[in-house]
Amino acid sequence: MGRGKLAVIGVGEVPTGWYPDRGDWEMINTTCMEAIRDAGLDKNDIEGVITVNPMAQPKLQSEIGFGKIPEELGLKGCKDICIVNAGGATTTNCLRMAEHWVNNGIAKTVLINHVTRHSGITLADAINFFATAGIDLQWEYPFGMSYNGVMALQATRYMHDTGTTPEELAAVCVANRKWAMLDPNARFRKPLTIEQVLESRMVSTPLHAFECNVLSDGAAAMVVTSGDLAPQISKTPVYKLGEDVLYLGATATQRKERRRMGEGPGAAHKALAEAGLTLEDMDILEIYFAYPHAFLMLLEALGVCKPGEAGGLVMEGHTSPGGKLPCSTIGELSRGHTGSGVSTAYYVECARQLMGKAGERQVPNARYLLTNAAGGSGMNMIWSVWGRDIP
Amino acid sequence: MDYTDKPLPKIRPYTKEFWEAAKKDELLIQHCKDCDKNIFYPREICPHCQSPQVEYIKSSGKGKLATFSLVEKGAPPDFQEDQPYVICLVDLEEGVRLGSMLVGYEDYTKLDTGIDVEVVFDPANDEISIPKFKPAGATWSPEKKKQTLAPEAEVPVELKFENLCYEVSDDVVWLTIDNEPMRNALTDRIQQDLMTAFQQIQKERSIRAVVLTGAGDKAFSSGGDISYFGTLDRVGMWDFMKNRGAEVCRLIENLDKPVIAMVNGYCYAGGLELALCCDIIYASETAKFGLLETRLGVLPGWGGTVRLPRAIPQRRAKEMLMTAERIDAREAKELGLVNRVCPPNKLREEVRGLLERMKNAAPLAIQAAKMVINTTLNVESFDNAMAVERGAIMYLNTTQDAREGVVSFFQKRPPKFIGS
Repeated sequence: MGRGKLAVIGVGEVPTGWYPDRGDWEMINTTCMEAIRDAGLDKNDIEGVITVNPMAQPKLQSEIGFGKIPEELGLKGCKDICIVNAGGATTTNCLRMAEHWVNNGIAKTVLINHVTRHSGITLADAINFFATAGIDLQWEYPFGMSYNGVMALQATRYMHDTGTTPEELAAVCVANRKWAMLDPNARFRKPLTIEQVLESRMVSTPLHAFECNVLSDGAAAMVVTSGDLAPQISKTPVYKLGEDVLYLGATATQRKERRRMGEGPGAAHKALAEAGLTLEDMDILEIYFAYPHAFLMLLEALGVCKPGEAGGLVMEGHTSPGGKLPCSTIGELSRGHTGSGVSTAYYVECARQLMGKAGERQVPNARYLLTNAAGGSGMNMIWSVWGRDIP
Repeated sequence: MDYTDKPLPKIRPYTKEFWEAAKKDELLIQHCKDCDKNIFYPREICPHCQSPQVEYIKSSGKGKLATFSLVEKGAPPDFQEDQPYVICLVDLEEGVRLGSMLVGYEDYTKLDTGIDVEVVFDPANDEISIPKFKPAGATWSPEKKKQTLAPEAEVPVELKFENLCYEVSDDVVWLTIDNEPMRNALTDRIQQDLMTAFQQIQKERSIRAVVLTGAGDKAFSSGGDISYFGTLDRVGMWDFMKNRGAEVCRLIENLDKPVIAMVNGYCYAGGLELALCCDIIYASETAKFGLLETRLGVLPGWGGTVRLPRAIPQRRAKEMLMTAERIDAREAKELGLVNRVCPPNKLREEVRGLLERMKNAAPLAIQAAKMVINTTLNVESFDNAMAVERGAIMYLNTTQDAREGVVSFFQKRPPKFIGS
């Protein structure tokens, strides 16, 4: 592991959506081949596959887990495959493992991919899966807790501690929507106002429907290689420059505010230090947050602004397209939630922005960015710094 | 809160003490004898120092509200019916944090992070009481468990019938009028026994349907026992007309379960009047139907004159009464008086098939369908009839079977109804 040892050289993605009639394997094929073509490689150049575990789809999980991807794609040069599971933090671990493979002679190029089709499981199964995903069955679920519930508890406390208003929370969704409107791969792309967010039905105070995730289908893929090989293969390699992480605890109701707000982002600064960069060097903050208050908490904890000021920053449009602090350019809450795939989408977007392939939402001259990932109901917080060169 | 169908914590060897105390309205937390730290939730090993020397200590149950949320629409599936409710995190005086529900508050908008709260216990079943919190000083008591009214009667009342056979098979009562020498004529005792039987059936929730038939292969029932005629005084006649056969008819129509007439032969006079009250009629090819009372110079007195013209065309009913006519099964089928006609030796099999097919529908939906149809046929206003239907749907929507119906549909499997 180390600065500039891993590089993303190709990405592929299908638009996030609802595809009851689309096959899992068609989506896997489309995204993987797109990523391979994007890297300028032939499919037989791929030497390893590391894939995200589709937790909500047990059947597909077992197919992929038992190694079907190289066979389906006909990757004749593939030497090995494995499936990784760490909830929303899975893709990070795919990248970590790939970094090891490409630097230790296991594989020169590795394909990392994700697919989730919530439309392929029954509504009841989906509801039941997400009602208890990340929720303790002994000490949380029987007490009326749910994923939305524990996030709402966090949001109430955050608003109490900082004086953040419902309008400021809603503004995060609006800023997200502005990015989504520029993203052909986002699911929700009609204009959205603060009033519309606040008028949507209350799910669990203070979170309205627009402030909660909508389960969606999606798939994405990346091709990675070592930092040494990357410039030989690609004109636009994107390097991983630094990473650090903190484990916060499995049971959401047991986490203290101190752990959630203070120590997690400490890891961000360690990641920046490894990269030899500072927060000011970042052209984009690709913050993965799932709920709007978490975005504000993370901005404040990173030290972008003082506690209670992040809402204002968003209201003033600084995190929106054209703002001085572009954030979460995949338009997270308007993109549709693909389970473990959200973090894949973030890494793909990081690469696209740094490769200069982000279309209408391209942040001009994006050179370095900071991104994060988290698993479960926030069991950990992983920060990584990426760049189009190694400073 | 009603915990009947909710998943509850599993009692494990190391949590037994916690739940036993909760049952006695005491909140326990753990304390590590080695590192002196307090622990929640209960564990076998101290998460601070790995010591197995963890013991339970009594908590004051007092603490501060760390945060809260009113769950309006986002509850997990098992708590959907309980919305809205408040979830919260509480920091106990002993320095540990618990997530649970907040109850007993007067005004949600006045709740605030940092207020004093204290523990209360909500009994979920005989073993588990869920610790919840209320604002300090507030009054709260657990909701009384909702129960089904008139719980299932044990079949206790020893049912002693004369000339009436009461058999239960596959949750269906087979009632056989057994007075073969008189072509299953309805003696006063049989009428009283039928009343007792239907009253008993109404009380027993496990019974899903009733089949009414006659013994032997000649008759379903030839009607009321006319030997009473002329022997009854005015008071006796009142009872005969109102509080016997007519009451049996009323009980059948009002029964919360479908009643099937298995007409295996003559179905005359009072016999046809009983059949007219049944929800479905299956008849053998040898069956014959008629309201023959006009031959005796009287009229059907248990509703036959009223119900027949509502079951078949009015003029055909008048013709039958005015000529004391008997019609055969084939015509009864053509007139829509009976649902199905089959050879005598196939009749029982056909009825069994019907009972099997009825398992496709939810018991409460069957019950409501019968009530809505019987009620609305007599309602003049179409809008009023629709209102009755709407009320029934809104009731059914809240049932577990309705949820199961929808879930099983999406899962493409047959539903498992429980009648609740």
